[in-house]
Amino acid sequence: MSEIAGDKLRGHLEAMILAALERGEAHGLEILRILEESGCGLLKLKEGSLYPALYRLEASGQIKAVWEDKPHGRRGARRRIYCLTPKGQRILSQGRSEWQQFVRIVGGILGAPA
Amino acid sequence: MNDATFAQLQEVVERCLQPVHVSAVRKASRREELLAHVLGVFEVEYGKYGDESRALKETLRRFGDPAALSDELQASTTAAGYVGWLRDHFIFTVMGYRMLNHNRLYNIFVATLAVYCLCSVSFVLFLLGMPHDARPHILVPQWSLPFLAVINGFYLLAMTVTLTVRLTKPKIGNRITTVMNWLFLIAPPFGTALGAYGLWKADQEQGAAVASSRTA
Repeated sequence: MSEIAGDKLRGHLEAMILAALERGEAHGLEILRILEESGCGLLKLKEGSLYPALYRLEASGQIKAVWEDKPHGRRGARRRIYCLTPKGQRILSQGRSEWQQFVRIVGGILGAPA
Repeated sequence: MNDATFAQLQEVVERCLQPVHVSAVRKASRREELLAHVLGVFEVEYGKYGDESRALKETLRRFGDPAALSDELQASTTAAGYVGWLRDHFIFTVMGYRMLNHNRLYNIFVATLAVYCLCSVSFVLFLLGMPHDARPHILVPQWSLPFLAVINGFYLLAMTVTLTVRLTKPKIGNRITTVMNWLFLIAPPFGTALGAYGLWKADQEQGAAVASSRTA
């Protein structure tokens, strides 16, 4: 199977981040690892692109973040640990329903039902 | 990780963030987070390859184009973030410029007053050098001329020292300026006005300038 690059993920990245955080709190690098593992290594996105999406989600109250206590090396730079809020949980459920509907409709048109 | 590698990672993060219009606090927070990310990626890549230059190359490839990320970060900035940037921009540039102007203006006023004192001392010394009966009619009594020369000479010396120290050693200049301002207050009318202005504006700003230079 071919890799899924950043352009194809546009519009879905935020929902995927919410889904990754549903498993538990995580920092940026950890979220990327979860996404890559879930995508069986076929999901390729520029890692920097994760952060604008995280900031949008945080600004809209779907996730919240706290600084880690200690930087664990990394020359004093700390990570932020993200977790899902109840609003994020609701939007994730809504996103799942919309995605199922999208796949059903588009799959039907393409002659490749899910 | 050597310092050069660390500097390159810092530079990439800075290239992403520099054009983004968010408040200074938020920018600092994003800077730390992105730096922690690239450092974390570097650790992973170094663990894989055991070669710093290759690990750096892989880290930069994984991170993506800084210019594109910069655009994405700007697009993710909320209205509140933009307002924060405007506020900081105003404080750091417009207000900062005005603060510097007050200090400069104070120096100019002191220099002008010093020139006035120099002229005054020269004129009084010139009068004292003339025969008593040849002196022109002046408003102050003749007996006060030596005192005037001494007082003006003292202020001239004090202002010269203050200006020199302010320009060369701002930290000490701050204290000397305070003393000078109190001395100005008892020398109406120009001295009083300048002393009040100095105590109101220049002293505070000189302190701020010292504090900021210490921070820098």
